[in-house]
Amino acid sequence: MIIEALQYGFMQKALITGLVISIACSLLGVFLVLQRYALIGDGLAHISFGGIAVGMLVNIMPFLTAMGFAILAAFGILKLREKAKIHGDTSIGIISHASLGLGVFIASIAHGFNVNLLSYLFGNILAISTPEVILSIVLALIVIVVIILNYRNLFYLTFDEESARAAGIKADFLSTLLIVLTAITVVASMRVIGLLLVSALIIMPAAAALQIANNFRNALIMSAIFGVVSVIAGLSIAYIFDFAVSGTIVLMNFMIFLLMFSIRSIRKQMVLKSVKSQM
Amino acid sequence: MVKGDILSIKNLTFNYGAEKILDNVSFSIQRKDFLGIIGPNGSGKTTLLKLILGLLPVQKGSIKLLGQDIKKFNQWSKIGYVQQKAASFDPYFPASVKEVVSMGLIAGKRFPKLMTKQDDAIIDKCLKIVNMQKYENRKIGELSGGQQQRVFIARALTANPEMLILDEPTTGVDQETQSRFYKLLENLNKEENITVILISHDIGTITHYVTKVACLNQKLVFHGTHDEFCSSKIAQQFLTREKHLICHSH
Ligand SMILES: Nc1ncnc2c1ncn2[C@@H]1O[C@H](COP(=O)(O)OP(=O)(O)O)[C@@H](O)[C@H]1O
Ligand SMILES: [Mg+2]
Repeated sequence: MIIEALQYGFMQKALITGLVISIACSLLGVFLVLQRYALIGDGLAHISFGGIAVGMLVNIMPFLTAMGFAILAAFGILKLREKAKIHGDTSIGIISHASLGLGVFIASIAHGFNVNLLSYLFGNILAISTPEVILSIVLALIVIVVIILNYRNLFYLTFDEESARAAGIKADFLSTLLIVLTAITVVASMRVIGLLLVSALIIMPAAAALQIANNFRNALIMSAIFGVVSVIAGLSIAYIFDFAVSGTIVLMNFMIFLLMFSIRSIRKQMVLKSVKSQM
Repeated sequence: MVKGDILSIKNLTFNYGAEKILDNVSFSIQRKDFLGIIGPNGSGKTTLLKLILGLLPVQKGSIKLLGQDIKKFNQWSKIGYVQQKAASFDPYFPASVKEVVSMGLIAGKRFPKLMTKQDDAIIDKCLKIVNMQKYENRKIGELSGGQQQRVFIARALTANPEMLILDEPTTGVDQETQSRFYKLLENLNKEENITVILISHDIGTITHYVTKVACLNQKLVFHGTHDEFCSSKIAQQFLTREKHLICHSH
């Protein structure tokens, strides 16, 4: 049945886009979660919502306005954190809600496009247009390549910023890079998974991988695998039972997380037991 | 190799806001020195290190590293840094000992910074020096404090540094591990010719190993050789307070 489904063009598009995007999200997620920056994806999604509303209002492709908003906001968040001595999460909160407020405001004065706006909130991987598919895939691929090329620097920075700086690593540049990549990924994902749930694709595979990974390379690889598995499983189940795709993918992610969490707990118990039996 | 002072500090003054932290500090050290910086908590030791490492901007006075003004200095891989214990790293971080040590090689590499067989050999060698080769696949957070510090030293050694700077590396580490740790530093200093700057508030132990002593308390209270320090008034004051101060000739 799933093989049969794959003969449909829309399913192929959905699967490929979903896979590439989930890899970008889950790789970024490992760095963001470890830097205690997990909710930045959520913040940037709120910001994109404002951008989409503006795009619809002035009749520019919402993809582009959302991207502009998200990248500008990424710099804004960094500047606020640095200059105003505001904590990272507060500066995300201020900028993202200003943009979300703008989006809601615009939606309320221009009644016509509420339905369309909703499709960005919840995503619809099966109804995504070919130009959007291509744009999403290209952007996500760029993000993946940039992460892989900078993986060692980002690893050092994430592990211990002070030593990285002392060693001459360009910490400010890398922090900016990471958040700009996140902005790009969020926008590239919004049609697939929806702005409300994109943050789940960033946080959950990474959090699941961190339950069991013993080194950093494995954490990245496992996170990507979990992201991929959740998309394949989520898409198949949603197709068979006619469920909402994005919701199903996120629930798959949650189940993977629970599974890894249990494996870790069981392992811990076994270690404790073996220690006790040695005493 | 640069001749002369490996580090020279002149009239260094530093304020956090209105609060003066360092007041007109001047001293210099030569290649192969083993300098112990001592002083009570809050006396500005870490601040001084951060200035030397370029992590804080010089406000007044000057610092020269390897003969070059710090504002122009860019050979950071020649300066190894082991920061105050558990300063910032997360015990659950998924990093193996080997990965942590490999970080030391990153800054000196060109983009895209791939690891080679040669790098693996360097990592092995540095793990051997600190006697941690058995643990290369262990998660860093699962090691004891003393073992973690040895791993961080191995990381600093990978870049083949001329100078090693350590900020209270043995806080919370038991006495026996401490002495082994200081012996290791002594070896690096004597056999690998690495200049060492060691910060500690445990004056008693370190005077056993260092060749030079700087006493910091906002101002530089004392700076001289180990022997000069032992015959100084300051050492006598410490001696009456801390019975285990060891002063003997090297
Ligand atoms: N980021 C900072 N902002 C303001 N004051 C600081 C900061 N870091 C340290 N201080 C102050 O500088 C003084 C010296 O601190 P520090 O150099 O860490 O001392 P030590 O390492 O000798 O214990 C202390 O009084 C401390 O409160
Ligand atoms: Mg200190």
